[in-house]
Amino acid sequence: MKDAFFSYSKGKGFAYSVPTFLKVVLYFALSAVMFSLRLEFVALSIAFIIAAYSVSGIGVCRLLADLKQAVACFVMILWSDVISIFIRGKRICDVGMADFNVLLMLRTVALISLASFLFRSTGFYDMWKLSDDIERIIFGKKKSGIGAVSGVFVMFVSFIPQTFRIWRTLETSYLSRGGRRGIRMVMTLMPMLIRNSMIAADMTSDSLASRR
Amino acid sequence: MMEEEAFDVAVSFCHVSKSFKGFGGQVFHALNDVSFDVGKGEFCILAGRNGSGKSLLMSIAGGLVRPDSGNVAFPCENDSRNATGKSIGMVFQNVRESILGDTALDDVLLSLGIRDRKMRNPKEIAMSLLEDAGLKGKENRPSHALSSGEGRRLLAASVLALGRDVIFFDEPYSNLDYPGVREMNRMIARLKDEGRTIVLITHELEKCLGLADKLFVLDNGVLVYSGNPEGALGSLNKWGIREPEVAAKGIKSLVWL
Repeated sequence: MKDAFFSYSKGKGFAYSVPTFLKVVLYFALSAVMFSLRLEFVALSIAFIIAAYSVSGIGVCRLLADLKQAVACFVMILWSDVISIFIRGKRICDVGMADFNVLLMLRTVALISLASFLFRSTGFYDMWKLSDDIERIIFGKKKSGIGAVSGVFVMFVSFIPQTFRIWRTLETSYLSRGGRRGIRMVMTLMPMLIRNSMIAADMTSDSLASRR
Repeated sequence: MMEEEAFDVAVSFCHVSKSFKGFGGQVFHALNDVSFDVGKGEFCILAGRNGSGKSLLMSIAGGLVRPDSGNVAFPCENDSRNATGKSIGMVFQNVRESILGDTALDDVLLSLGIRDRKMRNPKEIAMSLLEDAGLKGKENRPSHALSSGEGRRLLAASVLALGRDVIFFDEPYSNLDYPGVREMNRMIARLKDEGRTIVLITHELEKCLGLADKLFVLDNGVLVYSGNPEGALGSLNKWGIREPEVAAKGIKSLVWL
């Protein structure tokens, strides 16, 4: 079975020995930094992330698999530009437009790479425990049960691979009926993806509630 | 003072009713005045055709759905003032959506963490529970890569990690092959031997009736049968349940083990 995007993959490299707290702090800090860097520095950062990834023990192929998500973002960036030209008669950003689009794309790649590094190397339980610890420190300690914030975290983490799994099922079903990949497929399947994802989220929520 | 026959009730459904409104305003009575008791340590089967209200009853017992009228009591819970169904664990029918951890081990660890943050050696306990569930060697497998049977056994292990005494299994045999059903039944039989209360929701009686102490049958939201399994034989077809063929060995042979 194919790995779900951003799913944890067990390994032994340095990425797995970095404490979860540090990884989460670095993730948010570096993500914020990416939005303040110029194009060439973002490109340099990506090269650095890929280099770190290659020795992290996770495997570059997993990063590349996650980066497939960037393609959809690229299409959206370019598409919004096309719509802007169509409606306003000019691009979204008039000055240095080509650079702006490239910068947005590179930032997308950087953010996905950072997220990939965090989620691929950090187990679900460690992430939950961290969020639960933080919640308990802020809102007071309880010996048992699950807090509201860490509960939402569990839902969120479960929801991502679920959505991709549902998408794969819908796509397979569509293709098996003679459909072809493309915009039409996306337009047809999107409402079903939303509906099925909501149903799945409801079931997951029941499962979580039953464990409280 | 006369001594009454001891019958510890684990879960008591008392006049439970629930209805839903359809798009056209019409009311659908999903459960209608359902009352029965599940004894402590009993293995009960809740049977009925599709849409008869079995899973809804489980959700009500677990506090996920509120009944319109009636209530569910848990006389065996220590603190009766706070008896809210915390002793109930549910193994849901939709395995993929109910597993919360990335891996099998994570899922059980999460339950242990919810139960008690200060638990010592949670990993060892989780490994032991996974081994009991027949998932030894699969603890680090991504949960989405587990088969249906493995997923159900994982959910059962996670419920046990919560320390629940009453376990509801919702359609545990769906999508399972013969070895999968046998594995599931072995696990259920072991839990029964440990003295846990089990309520198994199914319409596939030929796979498990031999284990049951009691049988409850729901039909269109109404409890139509409550009693020992033998008493229902001969009437099951009219309630939309396949009549199991009782072999010469008797009703106890009706189990895939």
